[in-house]
Amino acid sequence: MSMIEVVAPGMLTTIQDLGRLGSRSSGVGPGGAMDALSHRVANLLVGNPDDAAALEITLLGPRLAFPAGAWVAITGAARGAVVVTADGQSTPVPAGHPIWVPDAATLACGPCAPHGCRSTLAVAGGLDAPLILGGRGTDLRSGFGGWQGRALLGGDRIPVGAPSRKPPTDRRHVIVVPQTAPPELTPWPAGSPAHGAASPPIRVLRGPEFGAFPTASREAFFTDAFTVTPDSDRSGCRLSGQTLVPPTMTLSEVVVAGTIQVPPSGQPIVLAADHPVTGGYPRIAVVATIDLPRIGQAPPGASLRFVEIGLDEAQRLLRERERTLRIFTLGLEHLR
Amino acid sequence: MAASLISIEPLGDACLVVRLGTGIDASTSRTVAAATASLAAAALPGVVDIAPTFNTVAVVFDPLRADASDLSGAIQARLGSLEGAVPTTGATGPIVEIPVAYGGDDGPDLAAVAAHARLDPEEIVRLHTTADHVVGMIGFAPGFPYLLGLPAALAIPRRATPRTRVPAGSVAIAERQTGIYPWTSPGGWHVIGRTPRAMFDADRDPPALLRAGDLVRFVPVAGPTSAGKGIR
Repeated sequence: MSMIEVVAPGMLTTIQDLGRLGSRSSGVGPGGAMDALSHRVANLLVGNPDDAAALEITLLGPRLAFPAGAWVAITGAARGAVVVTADGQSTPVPAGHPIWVPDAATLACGPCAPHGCRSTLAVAGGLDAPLILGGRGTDLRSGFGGWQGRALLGGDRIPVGAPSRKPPTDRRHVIVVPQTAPPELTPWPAGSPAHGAASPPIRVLRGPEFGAFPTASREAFFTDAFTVTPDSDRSGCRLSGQTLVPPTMTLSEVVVAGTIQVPPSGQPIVLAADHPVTGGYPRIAVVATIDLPRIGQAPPGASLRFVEIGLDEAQRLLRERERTLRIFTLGLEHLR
Repeated sequence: MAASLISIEPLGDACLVVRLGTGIDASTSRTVAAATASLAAAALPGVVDIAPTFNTVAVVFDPLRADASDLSGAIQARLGSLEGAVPTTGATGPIVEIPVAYGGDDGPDLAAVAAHARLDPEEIVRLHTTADHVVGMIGFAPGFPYLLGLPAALAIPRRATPRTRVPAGSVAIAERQTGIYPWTSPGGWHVIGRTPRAMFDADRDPPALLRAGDLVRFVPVAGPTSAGKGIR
């Protein structure tokens, strides 16, 4: 079996997939990739099923050694990587394309700034992490899944499954395949800055306690901008902005990824992949599934605004994007 | 049905919340457990996860495979036939005995709880171990049970300042509930004892030792225990 070796782990690099479902009644949340869209696209580019286990990179990318060579793809915030071959030659490679990393080469993934917060690195064949409770992703809060239940460290050797796509005849040179995903298949709205004031607002649905907030808080939530704070992580994106006044809530209730809770501090928290399954703070809104990848990509300091959409619209947007994904997948059939 | 279907409301575009009550009580818990089992057995198309809370059932679905309003209708139809299927007494699940070493280093807040209740620590232990505790829901962390049925004499507000580190296996109380910390974590409840039983094991199916609806009895054991062994 092939494997990749971690030379330098980057800031926080974990094995993720599309999450574990079915264990919520045991208190296990979904976890999985913070930017599921980029995760799926990266896998498709290397001929994997879209839910194969891949690396989720946070802000600073890792350096990885490939003793046997592999097809890889980088998506998400990073704009590229540098491949250093055995003869010491450096080749910059772009994100968003299938790349052949030659035998005995290393790959250094570029930084996520300024475009976002996370990148996905998929390897053809998928990372061979154990299937636990229906998922291969790392649950950092509880310390299981992925690679020994933790973020990668230097020296880790991660096994890779059998790829569906054959290696090239000449395994010694870097290859960049011209194939790439359309801009609709990135979390960012085409033609606008990723996280600035001119970026379109995050689309949300009303939360169960929305009506219990005072009018001023409801208005402020939809008119003011909120800034992502540095203590945000995989369990939630913490925001700072105008202080909202939460109603009192007596019992913990169900929460899902994207639920926007308002604790007594009045500063909202957008729950993300590693959220607990219940929460005791009023839920003012829930991010539409279509925009969850944008939450996963919002770095500290990013400015977010919210706009309300209805359930029908949320479903329509999702189906539209799934159609685009399907067409893209069909166009990649020759890569498998 | 001891309690009835109050509403089915969306939580975002991929979850429906089936409300069966508004407060916390054993009768509502029984209804919730019965409804959870019924919905799980129904295997409704597009449903990917089902989990109970104190008084609701969360039905998580894939919005590409199920339409929210169609699913809501299917849930309503399914739960309509639940009438009369809910037991009116007792817990719905098995009885699980949890050994606990009370007081000392295992239960650093036992003395404070006793002082608050104006009872001897021995009486606190007697009341806690003779009561029937029903699992209201699993939440907060994987495997963490919210247990209903704490005797009124033991009711106590949460700690004014949460502890930064509560060891795994700690048995703690707050308000009218008992909780058991599966993992070492911060926590605001009063720790009265500790159990060596692993509340969560990712290699077990289901991974949580307890499920909503289970009946729990605490069994006093001499301390110090081997608490922590087998618990991450």
